[in-house]
Amino acid sequence: MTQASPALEPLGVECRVFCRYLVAQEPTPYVLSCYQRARAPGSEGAFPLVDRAALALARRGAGPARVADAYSRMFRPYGPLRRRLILLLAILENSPPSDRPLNAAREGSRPAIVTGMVLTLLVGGVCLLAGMLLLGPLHLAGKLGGATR
Amino acid sequence: MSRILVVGSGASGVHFALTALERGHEVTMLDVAHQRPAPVLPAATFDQLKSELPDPVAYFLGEQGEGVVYPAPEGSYYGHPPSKQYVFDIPRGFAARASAMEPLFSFARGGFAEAWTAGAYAFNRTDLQDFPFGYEELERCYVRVARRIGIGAVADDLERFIPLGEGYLPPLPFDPHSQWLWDRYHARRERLQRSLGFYLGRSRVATLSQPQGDRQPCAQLGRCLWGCPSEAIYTPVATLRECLTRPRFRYVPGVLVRHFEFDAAGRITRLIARRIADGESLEFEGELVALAAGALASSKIVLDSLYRRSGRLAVLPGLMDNRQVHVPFLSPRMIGHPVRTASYQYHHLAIGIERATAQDYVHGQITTLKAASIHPIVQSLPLDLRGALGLFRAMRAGLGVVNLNLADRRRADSYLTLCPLAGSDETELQIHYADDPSEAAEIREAIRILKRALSALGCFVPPGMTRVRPKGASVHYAGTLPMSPSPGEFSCDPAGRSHDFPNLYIVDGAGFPFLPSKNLTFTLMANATRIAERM
Repeated sequence: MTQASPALEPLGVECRVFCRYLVAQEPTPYVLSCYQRARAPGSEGAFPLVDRAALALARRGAGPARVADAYSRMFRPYGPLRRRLILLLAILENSPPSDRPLNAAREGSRPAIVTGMVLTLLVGGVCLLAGMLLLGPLHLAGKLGGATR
Repeated sequence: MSRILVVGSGASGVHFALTALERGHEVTMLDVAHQRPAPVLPAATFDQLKSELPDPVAYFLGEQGEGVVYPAPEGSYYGHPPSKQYVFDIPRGFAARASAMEPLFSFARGGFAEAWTAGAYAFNRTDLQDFPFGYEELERCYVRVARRIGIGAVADDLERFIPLGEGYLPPLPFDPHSQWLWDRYHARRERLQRSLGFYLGRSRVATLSQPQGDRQPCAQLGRCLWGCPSEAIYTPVATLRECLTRPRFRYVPGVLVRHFEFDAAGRITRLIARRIADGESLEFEGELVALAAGALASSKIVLDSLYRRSGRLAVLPGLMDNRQVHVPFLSPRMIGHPVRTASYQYHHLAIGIERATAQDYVHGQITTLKAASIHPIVQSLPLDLRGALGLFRAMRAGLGVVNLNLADRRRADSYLTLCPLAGSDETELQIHYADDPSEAAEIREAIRILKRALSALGCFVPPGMTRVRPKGASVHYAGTLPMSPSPGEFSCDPAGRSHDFPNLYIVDGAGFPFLPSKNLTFTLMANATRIAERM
């Protein structure tokens, strides 16, 4: 397995935060190197204001990343944040040790699992609301001003 | 004994060639022949590949992540893995452009069937009613091909639509979710059949449940999509290997056939090809020519031949392709059960839906989720990825997808033609597809019936996740040089012989005058065998 290149450290920082968000783990050097060598199409270049804001928010930590992702899923589904997160998820599902938990089904009592699903939906709804409060106005401002600075 | 040139090594080409060899003919097969890479760690399971390969991400996603499925308006629940990219690579010198369709091309050794999901369904009398020969003529060829390739099947409710002849193997064992669906159906089958015209049975799959020749039975590795290392899933390369053992067979890989030259009577005098490696022009002579390059590529050869001789830009009407619809579902009763990724990954169950006319029968295959790339599925859930991962893992044991196929008919407004490319002697195949105006209503009705049937089985179809795939996605292209009982331009006789070129045989899907909803590959093989027998 190849090692992460120190020259691409900003991507490494982003990878660490996104990894903590997606699987609550630090990325292995292999995951870091894969994230650096792969490029999600449409995830680089000049972005609209809301995408820049979503990326900046997501890089602040696992919690903010979830808020930014919840907003992007609904309102910027093809934007750069979603693309980068999906790239990392694809890497994680194919890399040990994160592959096993990501590929496993949750086993056990059905009522407990269904309760967990309801809670997940509630948390997702709260994150979406927070995202709308934080990113919605910027999105609207960008649209009104046609800003792509 | 004739000297025959066969173009293409896909499902049609190899079965035509083997039958012709068995009948004493001399066969030369011309093929671009993009090659399958050697299987990695042949004994490893899907999970073991990830821990044992030195660079599993490069294997599963490609060096640059080209195998990642990103969100898109018409996104798919799976993508072609990098290990199958050779199937779809297009060689230099072949150009095509399409409107209202997203066609794929294959120049692989073995053709598209290198990437098929092994569904092998015989056409019945209704499916063949527009063909200029009867079911009886094809029946013995189905038996012959079934014995060659190994198909698992049993008698069940789908026999009403799918004839079950001799020569079948026992099917593979069910996974737990498929078994549960099977049991639920059998507790409700009369009501489902009577009220919805919904039938469920075992998939007929060309995947070995017992050894056959040099192929091993399914080892339950969970690697079907990435390429079965034991060749339990049939591909035409297995039949090509058999051809290669015959002294009268000559295989010429690395050449792209571009066109043929013909005399005043229309008899083909030679095939003109280009060697892929260095671009050198090559000529091949034979008494008979069999086009088996796939409906689109074979049609381009015919169009190019006419254009180069007379400057005529002909039109081949009647292009068909099955419309595919993916309907994901959840079986809540399976929640909490374990999932075994080391198991046969493709479908165990097939469904049939009766429609107003028998030809409009809707066919489908049910794939329960076992080994899979999970990121295309997780990203489609309406939640942030962390939450979506939690939901996915909770639902995983109960997830599945029905892949519905709808029949298609030849229409004048779906056609192929050529466009000369400026500044070169090359041409571009132009593919125009026009949707059948009644198709949208047919799709809606098929989905409605399926949802009601799944609901009766105890399954739930999440709203907003059903996807009507773009035309071209099924890769069941047919109809551009159809068999016809009466002579007509750009058609062939019931024996597959062209009405325009008397020593040309159309042995692939271009010769089909109708496209039923069932996967056509088994019939491609049987029909190619039939043509070789009649020759």
